[in-house]
Amino acid sequence: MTVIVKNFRLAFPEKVLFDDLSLDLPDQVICGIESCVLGGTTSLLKGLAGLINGVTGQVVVSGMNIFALTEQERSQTVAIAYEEYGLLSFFNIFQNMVLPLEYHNRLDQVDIVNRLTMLCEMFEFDKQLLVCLPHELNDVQIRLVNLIRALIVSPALCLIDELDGGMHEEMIETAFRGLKEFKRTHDTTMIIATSQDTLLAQMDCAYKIEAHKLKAL
Amino acid sequence: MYAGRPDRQSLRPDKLFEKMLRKKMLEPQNKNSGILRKFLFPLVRSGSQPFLHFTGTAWVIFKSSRLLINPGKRRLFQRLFKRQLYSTGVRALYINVVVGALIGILMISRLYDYFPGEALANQFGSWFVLIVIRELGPLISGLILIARSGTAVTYEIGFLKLRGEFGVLRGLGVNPAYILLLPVVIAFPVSLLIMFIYFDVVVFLSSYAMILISDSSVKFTGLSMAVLDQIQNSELLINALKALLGGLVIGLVSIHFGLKVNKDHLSISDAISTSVTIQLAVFLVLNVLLSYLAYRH
Repeated sequence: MTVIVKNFRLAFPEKVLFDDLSLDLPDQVICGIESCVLGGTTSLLKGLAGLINGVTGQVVVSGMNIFALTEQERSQTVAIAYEEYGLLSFFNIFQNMVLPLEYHNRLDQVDIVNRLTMLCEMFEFDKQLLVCLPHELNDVQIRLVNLIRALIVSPALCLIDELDGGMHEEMIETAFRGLKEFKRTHDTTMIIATSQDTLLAQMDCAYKIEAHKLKAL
Repeated sequence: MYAGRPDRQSLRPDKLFEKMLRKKMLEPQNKNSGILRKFLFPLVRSGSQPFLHFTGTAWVIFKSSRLLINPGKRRLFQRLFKRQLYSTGVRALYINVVVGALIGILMISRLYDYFPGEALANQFGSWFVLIVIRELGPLISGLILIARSGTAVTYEIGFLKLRGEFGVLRGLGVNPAYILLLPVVIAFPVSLLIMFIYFDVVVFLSSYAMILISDSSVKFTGLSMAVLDQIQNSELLINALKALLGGLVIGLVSIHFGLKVNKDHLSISDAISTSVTIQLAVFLVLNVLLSYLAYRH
């Protein structure tokens, strides 16, 4: 799905993070954004997902302005995989992962389980962890759960925050292979924030944050 | 151009009430209202804000109940409701049994000091209804609900707020009030009603056991019929009302203070202590008021 960002401005009372930011992504690409500590990538992803109040500009995904959608419509179009937290502490991992589908009545139970199984296999996620509670998982496992929950609704745009943090090389490779496979089989555009140069080099396009805007690497 | 939808904060019912109140009542009408503006209006405003916030929370929860119409969402709700009912109502059985048994033993042993065995057995039905079913049952069950579950809910909601889980739910397009708050508001009155029943049954059984120790001729069926004969529809109605209103108030107050937690861990303990104080005060007043209105002759 094409993603067009125009005149995007995100500012807090004490600081302007992004101003007049523009981005144009064609269908089914994986786009990287180089992240650095306190660089504002998490805020950028949340802003693009429509989760921050007071953001101005336009984020158009498949012809729909994200900011003009209802919460329910937006959650089915744009999904975000958080770097930390992001899971509901009173649900187990299975319930966390299927919540968006269950709540929005998208599929019946069999199809939900099939889709979850496919994603767990794609990202080599240990199915025994599905019955655990979030506090029983480490940060890398939590990030994978966040990623699978974001992809389970097959969003048009998936925003992934620091996918690789704390992962060893083999895991990063598996996760990225999974993302490429998902992109191939689904009509999803992905924006991934990462600090890994090697990972950025494998993406279809990559940007860095400079002077409140995105600049191609 | 402002790209977002209208700020949801400004659309919250409590904010709307607040705006209306400020416009209609609190704005000074003429230049001579200096004293009012300086002293009275801030006082009214600060006094009305918690109430408006509380009303707003209740309204948002009530509004989320319309999602129960959807079968898929109802299934999810049922799961969360059962979980809440189990932890609030079913697991309270142990403490209700202990407290109820002790009260039954204490009540009968004290009454034996003043009344001979036969007189006590004859009057047991009316005393039991008067003391236990009308007053002690609702009161002690409510106190147990506040101590066990009111505090737990305030902590839980505060913890979820601290971890940003309300925001996570909004990001998933899920109504947080429907998932996190509505099950509490519905489970609390039901739990309180269940606790009344536990309590009354256990007090009756322990009282019977105590009477039996002193007078082995007393029959279980006779004593239970004596109690059942004394129970009238008004007792059942008032107890149901106490459970409904008491449970709602305890649930809403615990949620209200849980939602007031900010990004500071210490604010959770503040929220719990204020919440418990308010719950105790409101619940006691409610109980006394309902008993007074219903049973005055």
